[in-house]
Amino acid sequence: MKRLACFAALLLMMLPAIVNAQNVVITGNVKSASGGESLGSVSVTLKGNANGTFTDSKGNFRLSLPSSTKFPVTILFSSIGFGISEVNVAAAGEIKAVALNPTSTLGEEVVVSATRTPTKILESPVSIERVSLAAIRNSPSADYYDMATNLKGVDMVASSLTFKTVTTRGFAGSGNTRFTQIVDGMDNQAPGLNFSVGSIAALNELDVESMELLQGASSALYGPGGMNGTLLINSKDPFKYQGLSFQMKNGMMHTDGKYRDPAPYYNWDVRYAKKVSDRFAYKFTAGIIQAKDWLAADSRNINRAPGANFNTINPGTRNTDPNYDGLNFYGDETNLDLNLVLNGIAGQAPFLAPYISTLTGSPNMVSRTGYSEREVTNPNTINFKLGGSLNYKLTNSIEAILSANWGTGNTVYTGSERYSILDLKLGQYKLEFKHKNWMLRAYTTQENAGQAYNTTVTTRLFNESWKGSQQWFTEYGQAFLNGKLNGMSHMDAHNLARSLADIGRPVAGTARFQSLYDAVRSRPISKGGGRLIDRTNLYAVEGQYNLSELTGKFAEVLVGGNFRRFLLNSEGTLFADSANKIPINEYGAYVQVAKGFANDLIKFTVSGRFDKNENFKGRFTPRATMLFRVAKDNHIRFSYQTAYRFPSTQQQYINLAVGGAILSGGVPAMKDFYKVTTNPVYSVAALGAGQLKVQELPEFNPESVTSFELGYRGLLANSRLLVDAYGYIGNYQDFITRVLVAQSIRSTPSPADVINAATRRIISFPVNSPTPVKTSGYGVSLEYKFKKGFYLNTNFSSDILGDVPQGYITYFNAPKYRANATFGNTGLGKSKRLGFNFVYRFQSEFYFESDLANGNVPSYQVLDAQISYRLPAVNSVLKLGANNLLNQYYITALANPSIGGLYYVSFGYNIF
Amino acid sequence: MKKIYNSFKFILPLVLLIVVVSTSCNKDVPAAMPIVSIPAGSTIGDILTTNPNFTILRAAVIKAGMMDAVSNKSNVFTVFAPSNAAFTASGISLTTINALPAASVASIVQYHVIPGRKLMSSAVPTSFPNVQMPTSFIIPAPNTNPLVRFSNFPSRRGDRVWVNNIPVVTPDVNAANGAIHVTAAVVAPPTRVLLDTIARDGDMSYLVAAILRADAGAPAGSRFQDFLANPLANLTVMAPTNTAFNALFTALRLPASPASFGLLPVATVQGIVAYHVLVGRAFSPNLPTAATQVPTLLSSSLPTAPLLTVDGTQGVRGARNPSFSRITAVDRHAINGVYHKIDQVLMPQ
Repeated sequence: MKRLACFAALLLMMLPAIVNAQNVVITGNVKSASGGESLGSVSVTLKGNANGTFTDSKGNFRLSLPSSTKFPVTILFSSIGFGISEVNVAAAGEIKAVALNPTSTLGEEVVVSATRTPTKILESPVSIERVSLAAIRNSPSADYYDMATNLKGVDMVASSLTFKTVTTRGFAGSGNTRFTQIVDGMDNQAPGLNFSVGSIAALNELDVESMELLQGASSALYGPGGMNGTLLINSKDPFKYQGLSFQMKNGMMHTDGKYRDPAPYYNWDVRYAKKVSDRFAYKFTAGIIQAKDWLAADSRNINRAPGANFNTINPGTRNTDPNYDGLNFYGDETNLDLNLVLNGIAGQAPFLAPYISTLTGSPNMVSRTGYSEREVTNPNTINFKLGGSLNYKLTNSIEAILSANWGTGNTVYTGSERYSILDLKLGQYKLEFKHKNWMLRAYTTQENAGQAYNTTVTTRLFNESWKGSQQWFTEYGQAFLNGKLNGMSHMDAHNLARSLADIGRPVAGTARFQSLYDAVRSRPISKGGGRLIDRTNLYAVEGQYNLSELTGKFAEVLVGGNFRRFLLNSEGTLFADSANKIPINEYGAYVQVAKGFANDLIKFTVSGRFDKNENFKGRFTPRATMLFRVAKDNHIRFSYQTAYRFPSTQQQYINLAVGGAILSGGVPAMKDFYKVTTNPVYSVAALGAGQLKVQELPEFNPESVTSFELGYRGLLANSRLLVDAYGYIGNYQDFITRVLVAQSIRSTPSPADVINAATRRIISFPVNSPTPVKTSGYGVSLEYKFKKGFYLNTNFSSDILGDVPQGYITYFNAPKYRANATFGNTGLGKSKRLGFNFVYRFQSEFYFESDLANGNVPSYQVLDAQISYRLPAVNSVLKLGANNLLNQYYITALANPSIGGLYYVSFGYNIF
Repeated sequence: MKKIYNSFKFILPLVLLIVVVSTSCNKDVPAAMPIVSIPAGSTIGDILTTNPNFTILRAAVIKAGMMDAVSNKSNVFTVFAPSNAAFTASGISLTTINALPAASVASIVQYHVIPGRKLMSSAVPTSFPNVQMPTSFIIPAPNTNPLVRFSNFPSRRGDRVWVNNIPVVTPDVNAANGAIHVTAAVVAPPTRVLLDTIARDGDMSYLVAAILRADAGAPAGSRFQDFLANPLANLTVMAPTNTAFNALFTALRLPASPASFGLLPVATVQGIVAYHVLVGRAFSPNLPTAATQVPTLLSSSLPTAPLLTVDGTQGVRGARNPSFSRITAVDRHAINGVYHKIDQVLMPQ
């Protein structure tokens, strides 16, 4: 403890104290009436005056008042989870200790994101979920980010321990670009890699004040993106949450050794915040996670032959299918029709030609021998985060905030292929001015893909590096024929051929393997390796003004706008930016008008937003909501929302050769780059059917959705039961998919060139699907407070895809049913120090579709649990937690890892 | 404590419920499913063992060391199987098999086997010449390439099947690991190359002399002799007898002697020899039943060269011959070809 105090003092000395110039001071201390421990972050204000202060981590406060203050005065003490307490103070100076009584009221929480103004959650006009500080404190989740999974309507795709993607209302997938994540007002999508980095480079747990999750279309307020929802994570104000906090979670994973040997899990966080004066406060946070990642070890065989069953799971193992392509095996994507080799042998040995012709009646597809994910990546998680802010109140009502969040580490990501993300660095830096009526912020996202590499591409090239495919398949073909001539069955001959062609194949884990592999993975994709180079940055400015003080009597009016500039920088390895960095500018503005009628019995809100991206036509997205108060604390809500998203930076400008095709962006500049008007492109699908058909590439548009929602939220049963329910319909248009085309590579192109592999190239362009997609769904949650502090929260939700044409891939990826139940108590026992929490989660089986593979994700259920014990004397809490207590492995999406149990003990100091 | 107990009493059923529900297992990723195709039924080995008509063949297969291979369900073979009657017809008894050296038996047995394929009679082509199928009999040293095999030559006319010139009496006996075609006789593997076989035939001394004259001055490697001695070649020679050549010499007013070839220009003799050689092996059962024009070796070097007319009943006829040459002896088989004796020399021009 002494050490900690020294550390705190040291940090203090590093900043100059700012002298306070006010004259009347009231000081004191706030405690909990039940446990007797000090209460930090309690708001202390003069009644009738918004200005005030907060207690520090030891419960002490110091309220400065103007010298003109006339005593006696009434001071208000308030904190979420405690009642409001009024204390009369006769004179300045120290007052006696204030004790606050814990209360348990439901529906008190305030959300900001639903209307961009603070609103009681009961009065939110759209569906919203909130994860409160208390919930985070009591959660068994090893990572707070996982808590979003327990909210209704939420799907989470876990590509690895630290790479998780949440979404609502369907269309789940890693790196989901239809769901926006905002951390302290900053969109935290990596601007070049296009995935949200919420769980890698955002806040550490000790600095999270709340998470708000908007389900469904929310472009009207948060700009393009957010077609399916928006997650907002808000950090703690250093004026309010002060002092040193730290938390050490030490745990175990892989306890049964099924996929990996048992290994430790470390998740350590520290936060320090100091209010130096009434004007200046700062905070500093750091966190580290280290573990052996969950392993993706799905060995099932994927059918990559174009046709109706493309990308589906087939029977077959390495020893029973010569063309085996294991889902989490890499390098086996390289394949060849062995008939090419056999016919070559027949040409040289005519005496075998008739015999060989009996073997080559149908294609003999053979794939090279792959390596498992464990062999090539051996994924080790490391995640290091730094963050902090300097907050300065320029005046009593204007605060300036300079903040930074920076993260680095290793993780694994599933996109169209699996990516091993090594040494990713992502920083977000912000300057913000905040007033009660307005805000102005500028921020930048600085991304560096580090040593990230595509596992599939790398392993395929690795195979080429130890034995080129031409040699490998030739050896294979000769050995196969030899096996046949020894009377072997097809499969035996194939296996013999494989064992002979694989002579010299490096064994994973050896020095030779590693040096060859490292050489390939560290070479950029554009130079024949597997590495992605990406240092794309985003610069954004946004502002908002609440005009309600001027228009208050008539209506509440809010206006805002934003500007964003992406600067693509991949040195030609990902984008078509080898010559210059590519800038993309976007801007938008919005206005929202809210008006209540009949004493706010009905409240209407209408918002509209216009956005323009330089590569796309401008878009207007309206939203209208109606909130009807059926009784006190009981509201029915109805909303009409629209949302859309501009294609991601990759969908605009990618230019990457992978696996025999070039992925191209869809903006006009890319089509000009490939001269599609003078050198026409032909449909590969039609070529497959033996037809020569020019593929039209119409204007590339943003995708959009309109949704209608009806909901109810209300307090029932003597305010012990909070009910929330919603139903929605969504209509999606202009879905972005990709189409394969063939184009001549000769200087004077002729249509015949595209038939011959030697004179054509295959390009994949993003296009809008003409097929509209309808979705619908509903959800209901019940939160019940029992006596003695027990609480039970349950929810149930469903998302359903409307009819689509046979074989049409929507990537809907949502289970039809999910259910969650949380049961717990935060103050059990005589001294109310014991707490516990059980969280149960279920979701039904669903058919998962992605660019990587299509197939069923089995239903699963997970039980998380924690027991905690508070030590008020040292302001600490001990927690014993388990995620997936029963260690029953499950996957969240195909090609993703099997997630098992994670068990930890945590010690937290000054956790508020 | 009691208070805690009371609290827990309250929640215990719920926790229990959760635990019970949760213990119904999640399905982890299933393992990849192997493609299993173990064929049902008796193997070739089983059939040879149980069918009383194959006792001699069974003894031969065992002696050849092939019984394990043909009994293994993960192998595939096509076996031309002489029945006991066929062995008897070929003059081979169980005693003969027992008396022969194992290597000799092995070569005979191996010559009856096409490895790695189940060749049903319907898949045997009706084309001319016969289709060439490698057998399990590897051409012995100095050959070192295991791909270089003695071949046998199935053919089909309608639903009748032959291997070389031996008729199949019962085709398509289905086995789990292949097919058996019962033959009317033993299919004897050839032992010599064409050049050697012809040289040993007293009726062919003029043809040998013609070959030597045709090769005069030609560099080693591109002579007819090299070709006829190459074990990998696959030829059919329409071989005029000495009498046939004598008739030609008489017509040309030349002495009736092999030495007379020396009086003819080398190119003329080359043309005559090449006109008697067909590429591919055609056994007599596979000769066309109606007159059919076929290319000769002459067409290989001279595309405009006249074709030969082949007719299974009438014989062969050269472009300048007034009549068909009768085939007087058929199916003289060598490692790299077969020859049929004819009674006229075929004249391209």
